[in-house]
Amino acid sequence: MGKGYMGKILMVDLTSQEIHEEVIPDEVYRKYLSGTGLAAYILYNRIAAGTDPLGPDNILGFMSGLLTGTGVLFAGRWMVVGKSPLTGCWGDANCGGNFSPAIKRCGYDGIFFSGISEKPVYLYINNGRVEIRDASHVWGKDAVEAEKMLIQETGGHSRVALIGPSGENLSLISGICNDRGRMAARSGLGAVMGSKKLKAVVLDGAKRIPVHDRDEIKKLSQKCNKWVQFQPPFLPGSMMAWVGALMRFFPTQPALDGMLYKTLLRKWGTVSTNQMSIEMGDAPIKNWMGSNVDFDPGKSITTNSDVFKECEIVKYHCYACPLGCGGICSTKGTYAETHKPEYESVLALGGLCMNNDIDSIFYLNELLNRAGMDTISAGGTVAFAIECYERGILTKEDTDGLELTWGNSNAIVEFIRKMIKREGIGDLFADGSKRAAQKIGKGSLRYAMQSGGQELPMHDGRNDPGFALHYSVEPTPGRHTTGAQMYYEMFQLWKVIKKLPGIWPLYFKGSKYDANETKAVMGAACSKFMNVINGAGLCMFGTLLGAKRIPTFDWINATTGWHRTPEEYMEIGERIQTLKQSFNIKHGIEPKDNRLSERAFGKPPLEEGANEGRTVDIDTMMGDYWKQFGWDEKTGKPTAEAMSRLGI
Amino acid sequence: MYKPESYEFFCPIKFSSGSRALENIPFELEALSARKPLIITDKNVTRRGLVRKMITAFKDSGVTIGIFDGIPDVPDMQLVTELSNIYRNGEHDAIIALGCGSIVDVAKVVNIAVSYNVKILRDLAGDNLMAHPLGPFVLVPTLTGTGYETSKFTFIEDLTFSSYFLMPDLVVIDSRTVRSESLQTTVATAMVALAHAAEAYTGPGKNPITDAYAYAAIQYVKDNLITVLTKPRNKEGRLALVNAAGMAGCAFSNMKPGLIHILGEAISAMFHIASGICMGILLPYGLEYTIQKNGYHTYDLLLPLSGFDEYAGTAENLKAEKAVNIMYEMQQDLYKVTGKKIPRTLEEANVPKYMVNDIAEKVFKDGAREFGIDDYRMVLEHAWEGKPMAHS
Repeated sequence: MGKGYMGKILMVDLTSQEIHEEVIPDEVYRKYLSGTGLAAYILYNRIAAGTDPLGPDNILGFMSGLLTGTGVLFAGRWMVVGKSPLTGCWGDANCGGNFSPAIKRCGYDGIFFSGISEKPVYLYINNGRVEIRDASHVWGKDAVEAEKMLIQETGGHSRVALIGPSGENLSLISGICNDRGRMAARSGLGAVMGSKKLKAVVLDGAKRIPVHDRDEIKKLSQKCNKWVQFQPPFLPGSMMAWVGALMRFFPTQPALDGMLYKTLLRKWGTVSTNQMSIEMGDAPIKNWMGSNVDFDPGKSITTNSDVFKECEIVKYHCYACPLGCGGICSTKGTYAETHKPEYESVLALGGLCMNNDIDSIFYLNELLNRAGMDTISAGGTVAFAIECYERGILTKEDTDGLELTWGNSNAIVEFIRKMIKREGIGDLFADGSKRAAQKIGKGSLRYAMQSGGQELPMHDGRNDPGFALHYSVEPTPGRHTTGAQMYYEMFQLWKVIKKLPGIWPLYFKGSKYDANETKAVMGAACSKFMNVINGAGLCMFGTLLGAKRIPTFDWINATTGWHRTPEEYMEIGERIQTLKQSFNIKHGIEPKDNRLSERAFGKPPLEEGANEGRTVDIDTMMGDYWKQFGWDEKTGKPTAEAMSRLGI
Repeated sequence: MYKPESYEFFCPIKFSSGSRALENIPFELEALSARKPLIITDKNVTRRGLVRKMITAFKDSGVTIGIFDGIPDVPDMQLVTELSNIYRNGEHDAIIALGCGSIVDVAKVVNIAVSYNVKILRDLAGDNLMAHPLGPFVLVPTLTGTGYETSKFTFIEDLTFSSYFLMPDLVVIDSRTVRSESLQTTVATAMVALAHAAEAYTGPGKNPITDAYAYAAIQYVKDNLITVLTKPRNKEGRLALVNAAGMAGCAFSNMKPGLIHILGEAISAMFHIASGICMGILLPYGLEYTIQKNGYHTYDLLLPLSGFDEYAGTAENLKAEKAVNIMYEMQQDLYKVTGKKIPRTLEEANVPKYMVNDIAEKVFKDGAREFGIDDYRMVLEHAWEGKPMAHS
């Protein structure tokens, strides 16, 4: 009887071309699950302190989840891990599509690469046979074109993860793509893959994934699916801006229920909240110095969720996903189709740059997906460049003649093209805003909105201080999928873990901005829980249904045959978080240096708009959060006591 | 008069145009040995009462007709298969396409499918791969043309078929079926005809017979388009425009696609704008380019555009420029007459500036190597800005 995991990893040394399997003891899975947990265990022990992220000693891992391929719903995420060249920290990113089960069907929980190949190569696994093949013919091709070629030449059934030209050019904001332009975009791990001259990982396996109790898994999945399929009618997309405006005006706020968000996701995808987020202050505008006043509904109407629905040709479901928040959209211009842009991409390339030309956003979405460049970081970097230009730090001469002004979509497109090609001014910005600011000088660093060097996502911590906290304290800084007040509300963990604080169905908004211990407990719970989720390979959107409706812990028990309580799983989450933080400490990172840029937490506060006058007490929140893990509350370094308690 | 050393021209189409031309169809079908035609059209045409007029035309003829009016804007192969079954099961022996655009595309492909075998359709896609003539095919066009109706081309999904056998045996242009359409549709129909005719008249494949077709088409469009737009009830004008579209299609089948056609089609596909509107924008710029690049026969264009007196009275070296200026004036007139609904530049057509290079590259990459990327880019840049090349 199986336990959901394959019990093996594959190690590939690209310098010596040596390939070998390693068996992972059950005890490691019991302590770290699979996915990023297992990866943290491997990378913490095997990457030496001070390793150059783009050198041969960095290790790049492609991970599947513990629950992937077992019949569990939402278990289609794969994760890429390594030391981030962008932040110097623990780097991870994850993505959906169909690549995750392919890793396990080849017989592995993870595939790790070290060394550097002499020439471009790709790894091909076909039913137990592992080969390193020449990839010269696809090197330089965009991710969609190269994927198509690799699938064709390997028989038409393979699953591929690969880099585009951006990763090949070692852009530090590049990601790794799969399923024609989806991307594990964050942390700059595409550059690590590029540095290893590894174009792609091509998998074609048919191994069965063993589980402990398939009937129980099925029963749990059927129950969960009923919640997913319940789809009440909802307001038209055109009303969303007004919903956001109402939320801005009311002094009270309802605790968010994931069933509502699920309804929106199923109908429109993540773009459902575009206008609402702008109006309620969740979406940063004009490089975080503007607000809903600058990008009013008259301007943001082009990003309304219905606009995306109208051009959606077909809905897109990731592996094992009953929700289907994705879609394939028809577009105008060079590309006939693109994956429906995500909320993050639309806002980063839209409101953040004051760009409401929706055609340019669709085009850039596909262009960046094909290039393998992170849309969030690209948008954040352009917004930074525009601010520099508007302030006179950059001149027209510096920008190769581009009029880099707010909302100038022609200039934005040309600028991003240059970033992808590392051409002219684009070369300076291809490594993100912080690196560019360090080269430009002139006090420009204060306009680079980042955390540990990674551009900030499109959720404003001045609206939800939980985001500001997690951008600053996570071992992978600047990530938005780890925790926030709104996630805590939707996870509803207090319903299965009694010691966690509950949330009133309606509360005064003011209480959201208090920096106190309760907030720290909530923040820590989010981080721990998301480590379990990333170990299991689940999609965060599924978990937003609420702990009573999505049986995460029961699924793991049914899959592995373990009999663990939710509290015990949260301890595993804590262990993984502590190990990742220890990875950073080992590599010389000072956690407090990862605090997000001052403007982004309200220093100085905005003078108008939804977040007017708000400043987040981020230093207090960071200290309180670290305390929850038993780490040093001043430095954020895990203490020996905490390490020992967790058995690290 | 231009006299090429050698040339070829082929056109098997019989035109029948007039106020009661529909009534000729039963007689003409008999000449084609057909007695049970299948009429293919769409719901829009049915709603406008044109199918009823067709039925009336067949009333006392003794000919049995079948009607299918479910052609969508974007048809697929499955529809072709279904229609082929309808054709065979109904024992039809001819196809009548009532309308333009996708209706004609489907009708032509169904004709291939029933004349050959639907299973080998994909093998016949390409240039001149059909070895023998197809079944009788009659076209009754409306004022909604895409320029391909009377040509040797047809398209479905990602396939392009090209063969002289795809040209209709009979084109019936009746003033009752060429009712006024929206301003954009009328202009698009006329401008694609004008662009094709102008390129046939001035391009390298020019010969005395393409000249005849193109000359008439250019003159019909020039003389009637503005009139039809200002007086939509003008029957003669509408009839002339559809005739122009038919003649331009014949000329187009006997030439290599020119720069205006290539770029216009590319922009149309990329930005979902009617190809006629795109070609209308590009027309003067494309002609200016040919004057500068190779000086083909653009000066000849002045004759159909302005008439013999002005042509004769204009100095030889000024003729081409004058012809192009007439095209620019026509763009301005269309812009005014339609209340700014017809764009004069690519910018007005909402083609983003950053796409200009991509369009040029795509056209080149897709195999249009008659011109270089720089040539395409130059024309596109001028057409985007609305800046005549003579002034740059």
